[in-house]
Amino acid sequence: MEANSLSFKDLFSIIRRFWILLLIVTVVGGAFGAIYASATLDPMYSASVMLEVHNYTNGDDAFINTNSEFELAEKLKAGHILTVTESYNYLKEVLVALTHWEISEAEYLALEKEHSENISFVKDYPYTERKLIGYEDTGNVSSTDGLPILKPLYENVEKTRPAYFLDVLSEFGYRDQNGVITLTPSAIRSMISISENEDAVNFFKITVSSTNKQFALYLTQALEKVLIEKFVNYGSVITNSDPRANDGVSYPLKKYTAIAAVASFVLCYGVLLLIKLFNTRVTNEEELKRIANIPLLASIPDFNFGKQK
Amino acid sequence: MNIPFLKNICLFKKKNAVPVDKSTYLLTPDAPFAIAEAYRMLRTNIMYSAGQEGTPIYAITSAMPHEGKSINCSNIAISFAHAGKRVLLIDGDMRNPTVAPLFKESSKNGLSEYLASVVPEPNFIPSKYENLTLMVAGHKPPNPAELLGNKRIAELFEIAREKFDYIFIDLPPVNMISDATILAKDISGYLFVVDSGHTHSGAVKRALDSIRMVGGSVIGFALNRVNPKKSDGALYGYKSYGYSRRYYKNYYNRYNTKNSDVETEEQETDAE
Ligand SMILES: Nc1ncnc2c1ncn2[C@@H]1O[C@H](COP(=O)(O)OP(=O)(O)O)[C@@H](O)[C@H]1O
Ligand SMILES: [Mg+2]
Repeated sequence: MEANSLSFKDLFSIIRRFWILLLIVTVVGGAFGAIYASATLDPMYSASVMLEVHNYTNGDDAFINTNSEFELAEKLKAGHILTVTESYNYLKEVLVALTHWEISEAEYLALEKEHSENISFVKDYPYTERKLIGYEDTGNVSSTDGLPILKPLYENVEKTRPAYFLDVLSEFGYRDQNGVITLTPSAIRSMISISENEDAVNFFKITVSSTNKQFALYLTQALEKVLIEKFVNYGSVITNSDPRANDGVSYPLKKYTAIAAVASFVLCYGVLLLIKLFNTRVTNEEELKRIANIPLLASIPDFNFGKQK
Repeated sequence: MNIPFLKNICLFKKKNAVPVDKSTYLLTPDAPFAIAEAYRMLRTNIMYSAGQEGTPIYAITSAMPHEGKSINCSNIAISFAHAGKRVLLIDGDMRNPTVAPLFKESSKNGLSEYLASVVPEPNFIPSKYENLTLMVAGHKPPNPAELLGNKRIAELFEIAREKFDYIFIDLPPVNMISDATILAKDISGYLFVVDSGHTHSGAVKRALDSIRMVGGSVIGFALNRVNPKKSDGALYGYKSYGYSRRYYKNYYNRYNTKNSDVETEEQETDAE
């Protein structure tokens, strides 16, 4: 069987002639994708917390694990003001360390011990958050830009929080009896994202996505808390907003619908193209012109056209 | 390849309910506008192609059977007769004669008898259409191709040229039998019918090649059985009168420039 050679024009003529069919197939395909997604996929929830990072110079040496952390701590103690990039990179470093489970069991136990009276698994426990209320002029002037160095003033705020990160994992069945985490590090890391805020430079957003709304929320809270523990020694991290989970379910519905719609369109178009490619029957002047450079003198209509009914 | 055949069987079944007399497809003064217009256009374009003086002989053929050669050949002849031209319509398809049944004439004493020298003189039958004269296919001979290769055909055309302005001859399909190409040297031009939506482009190419091989020239296509609804609008010639004429001119000029540029100029101004 010989096939036609198709011109660019033919590719468009398929759309022009069959656009209704293509539209219907695309819409129906997209609808199927949406139905499939909502019927078979678990809805996704996301929880997020906004962190505001401030410089804080009176830290001690607790929890310094890595060289860079140590250097950073030194810098901070020397009155260095945390730049945005530094804060962000540090935050990331902590997260990576966490999600690689580089937090040692001993470290974890120490943390747990510290809060032993309050931590009973995932239950909330009270804690004190220091809230920035203003700045005090130290009377010193920065050697770099000549601006006065301000000392932040804090107020203690009593709050409650859930337990730690690992507890959260235990609570939701992601640790076995021996305490080994059953989630792969990449799986947990794919749930967690940190984003910088373009406008407010010292704000970071931690977002956790999961099919379990509670888990997303608790993990967010735990992450936030671990970060506070880690940070508090160098600068200070103050929650800008309480962690909250989104009520609106965010199915990957749109994605599936779009994929199904595009796939349906491509499939339908492909079938039409194949039909056109292998249908070598002559139907119009264009096709005659392609056969030979002989003029079309006339098109004789079907004599029965319009008489049928 | 069998599809036109199958389709006809289907048509036949339908016809059992409402029998269709094929002669109703013959062009009448009260034909629907689109059909009348199509043949008027075809006539104009064919007239433009008649460059030389003297009576041109046009053969109507196609690649495959049942593409509508016979009905279109008859209608073209009628259309020319309407225009006041003295027209001779010869049924050159001796294997599948249609002129006699279409015009409800006797099929006896036609082309085959003349070519086989059974009769000394060609039997020209005046039709009920003014200016239109018919020559039926006659008795079905065992060797139509051989008969058409006969010298008598040239004699017939000579005689006919004296009496008529236009001669149209309905021929069998090119891809099936050689009848259509045997006449090439006597034919001024072939009009090639293509059944829209049925004929494969490969079949058309092969047919055109065999016409070209014997030195025949194709003056143009007639796209038959076009469904106005399925057409891509302006792509169809009959929807815009100007189209075919323009293409025809391009073609005409192209082929004439080979001989002489001056002649082309003249002929174009003649045509205007
Ligand atoms: N434009 C048309 N509309 C409807 N029927 C047509 C048309 N052209 C041809 N036919 C029908 O198709 C059949 C074959 O036509 P015919 O002229 O005998 O073909 P051919 O001479 O090429 O074998 C006939 O029944 C004829 O009436
Ligand atoms: Mg015929």
